[in-house]
Amino acid sequence: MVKFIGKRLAYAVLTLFLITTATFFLVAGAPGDPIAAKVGQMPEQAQEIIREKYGLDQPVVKRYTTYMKNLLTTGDFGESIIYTGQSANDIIKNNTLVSAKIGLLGLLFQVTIGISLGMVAALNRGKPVDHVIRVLVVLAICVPSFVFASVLQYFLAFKWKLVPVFGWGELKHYILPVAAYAIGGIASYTKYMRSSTLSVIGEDYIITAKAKGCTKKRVVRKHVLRNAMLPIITMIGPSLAGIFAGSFILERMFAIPGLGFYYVKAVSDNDYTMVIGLTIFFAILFVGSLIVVDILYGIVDPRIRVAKGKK
Amino acid sequence: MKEKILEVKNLEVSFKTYAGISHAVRGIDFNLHKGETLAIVGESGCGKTVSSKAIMRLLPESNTLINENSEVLFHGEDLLKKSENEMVSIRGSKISMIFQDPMTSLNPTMKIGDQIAESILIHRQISKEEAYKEALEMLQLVKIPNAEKRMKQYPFEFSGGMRQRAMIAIALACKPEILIADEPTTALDVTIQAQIMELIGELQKELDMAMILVTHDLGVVASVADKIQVMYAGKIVERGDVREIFYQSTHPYTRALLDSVPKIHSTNKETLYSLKGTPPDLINPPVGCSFAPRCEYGMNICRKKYPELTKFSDTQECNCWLHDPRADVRNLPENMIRRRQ
Repeated sequence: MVKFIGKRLAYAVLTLFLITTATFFLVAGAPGDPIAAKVGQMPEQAQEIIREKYGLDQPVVKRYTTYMKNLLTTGDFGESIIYTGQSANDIIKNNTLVSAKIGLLGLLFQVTIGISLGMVAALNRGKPVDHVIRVLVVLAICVPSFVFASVLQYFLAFKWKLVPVFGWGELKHYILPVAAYAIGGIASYTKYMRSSTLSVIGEDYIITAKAKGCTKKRVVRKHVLRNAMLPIITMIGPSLAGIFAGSFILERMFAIPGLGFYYVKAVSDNDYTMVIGLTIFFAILFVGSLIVVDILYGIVDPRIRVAKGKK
Repeated sequence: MKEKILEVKNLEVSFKTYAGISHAVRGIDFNLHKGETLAIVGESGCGKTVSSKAIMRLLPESNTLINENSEVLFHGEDLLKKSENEMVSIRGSKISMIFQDPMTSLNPTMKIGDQIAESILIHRQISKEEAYKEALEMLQLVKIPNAEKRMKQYPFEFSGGMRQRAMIAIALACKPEILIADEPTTALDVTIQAQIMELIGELQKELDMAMILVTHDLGVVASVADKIQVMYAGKIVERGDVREIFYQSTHPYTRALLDSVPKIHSTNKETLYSLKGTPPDLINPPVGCSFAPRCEYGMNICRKKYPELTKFSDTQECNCWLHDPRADVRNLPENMIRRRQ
């Protein structure tokens, strides 16, 4: 197991290196530059000075090596070009938690509600409950989260005045964004859990369990649930990474000072250091969460755990 | 005669399918006595497995129709009329079942020990520790080496033969009166088949339990069965004790099955007999004898009317028009005619 995790970590480092490099050159190669936007009206000479300050007059390879040196020795993502004095590290430090809170809460609802609804639908296959759940699932998957957000804002906040339209800071501010964030995920977890449960119910070992004398309840609890949840865990991986980035648009709609809010802004501003810094950060989260999922999967599925142990 | 523990009367099972109602089992009767082994033999799709699952009430409720007049009497009580709760207490404790494919019949995410102990815990009021101790004994009884270590392992760490042994341990953990073995050796290779059958035979004697052995492999049947019944298209076409079926079979279908088994003394120049055609569609089963279209000796009457039962001895009987006094038997093999007189 230790060896397995070590190997995964080595791959993760390699992946991150490649992502950093690729992002750096892609951003550098993108048309336009941040200085032009920021100081377009300044005289030539002043522009030159600012370029020099940020090292933008250097050849791109030189800039890359300097960047990597700083990153690896001090973990510094660099100062924002647009907002002087603010670094990518600050943004990450101050705003990650905000995004994570919404994302984690959303994911929690997605997984728990999704798994329960999926089981209910599968165990009542062909009955009215199943049909209702399936129609709702299709609807919820088709409609994008920002549409839900608007609908929720209109009815719950504007018409019925139950919750604030937007804002941040108190518990009531969580309700709308978390709900809007979770709905789509609930639908897809329900869908996958339903089909996964149905396929497990058809397995031979379920008949074995019945032949042993298990009651229906016991069959579901002891034999169906765990096996049906295996494929769901692979889905949690990408979702786990998505909890930091999944609410980009929602953060803007609800004026929530999260990572996504700044990320989207950095891209439109062509703010090199911010874009690269945040991309690397998201990459670390993503790769890290995939490793976590691999370990989780091993805990739930003994076949993988033991196979890993042997290697 | 030993005590009769299971009596199946006029069992009729059909399934609702998209194409119509499929009559999988069309009225079968048989008895099972204490300690006896009854083999049900026939091709795939002739209703063997369906009949055995119907006894355990393991068929999916949503699309299965069992005739109201059918009866499965276990110690005189009709299992088909029992509530699901009553059935739960019978399954695994009084009547157990093992299945064809040991690779898929064990829960992949549950330790072998837990799977065996589960059936003990369900049916008996004992502590977890005691149940585990008994589970371990069961695993030793089915001759799995290193049983203690094996208890903590998962099915994927077991070979096919080992898994079937574990299945047997699960099924016999509560010392049932009847074991239904549904093609227990079909998915195993030949040497393992012999070991498993030997093991089942030994345990059967030890626990004095009756067994219904469902199989299409006559080689397996010969060594363990007391009685054989041959099924075709949802009906029993011939039954008898082992010697009668192997040496004096009276139904052309039984003969065809026997002829399809390779003989140890046959040379490689002889072509192995194979029965032509396929079993009939059970959504529209034939009016007369359902084997008639494939039968070498088929007569006109065979396609029009179902043959009546002919008794040859206390144990052997068969439904075939060839045994009607009016049938022309000049073309029949000699030993089949002899049985008629």
